[in-house]
Amino acid sequence: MKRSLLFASCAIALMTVPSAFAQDSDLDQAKEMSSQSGRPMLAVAGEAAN
Amino acid sequence: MKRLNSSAELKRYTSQFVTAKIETDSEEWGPFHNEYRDDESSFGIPYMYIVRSDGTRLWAGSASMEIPEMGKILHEKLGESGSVISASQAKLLMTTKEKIEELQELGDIDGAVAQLRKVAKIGPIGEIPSFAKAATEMNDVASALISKGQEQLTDVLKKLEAVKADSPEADNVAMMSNFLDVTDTYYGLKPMKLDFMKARKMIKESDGLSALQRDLKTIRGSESVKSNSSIGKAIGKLELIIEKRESGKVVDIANARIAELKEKLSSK
Repeated sequence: MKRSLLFASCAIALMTVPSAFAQDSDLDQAKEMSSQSGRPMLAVAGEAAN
Repeated sequence: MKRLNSSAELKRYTSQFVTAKIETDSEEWGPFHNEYRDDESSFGIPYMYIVRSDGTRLWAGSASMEIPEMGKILHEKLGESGSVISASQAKLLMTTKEKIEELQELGDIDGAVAQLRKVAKIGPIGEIPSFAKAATEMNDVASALISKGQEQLTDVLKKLEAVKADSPEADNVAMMSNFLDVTDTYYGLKPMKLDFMKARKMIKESDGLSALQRDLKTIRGSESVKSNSSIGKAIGKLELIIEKRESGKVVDIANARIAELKEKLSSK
């Protein structure tokens, strides 16, 4: 039971990462925006389906 | 999933980043991953990269983790990311940097340093706590300028420490003139504040140096006078210096200045 809960929790977190990017930027554009504003860049690599 | 999409715990951090999603079958992923991957972290897809705005990797690794753990990483790395600057601040920093470089090329160091004060409201001169390109470039330009002034001030301090009662007047005049030059250009810049205080204290504690500083300031002040009455007053002050000192380097300078001022008066 515990193991299945842990698995479910990990899987949920996995799905959550792409979800945080409601307004994703193109990579070059993101680098440029980060460089101009001082905001750090958070990039996530995933499969196309994600 | 919908419930988690609105996870406030992550969103309050992710909203402070510039975000990007890269597909692993895209051409850009390989070079990006090679540049920013962390071989000491676990690998897994999705893979997450946190990159500071100057291009330094802060964190990279598999994003397969629970929300609180991810929140903790994002929070920690935000703390290492420096301040955010607005578009107008970035523009001011860039135009000021260009102006400083232009003035330096013209040899106008006073003007270049004066420009530094224009951006002091964004952050401490030479130490704006942001990794934005405009801020780091301004910090580099400011640090280089300040270090030149600091070198001159350190030299003055060494000479001040070496002053003795029988030091040649010409040496003291040269040293004090350097000090007044550095003061005119750099006084008020925080990174040099302590050394300025130290120099001023040393001068204050020596009657001879104190008087020398006062007289040289008076001589310098006479350079900018324009009206007949202020030229007359300046000549009067210079004559007092000559009367008090009778002879020596300062008297020679004062006499030369009086001649210049009289020439100015007669050419009017």
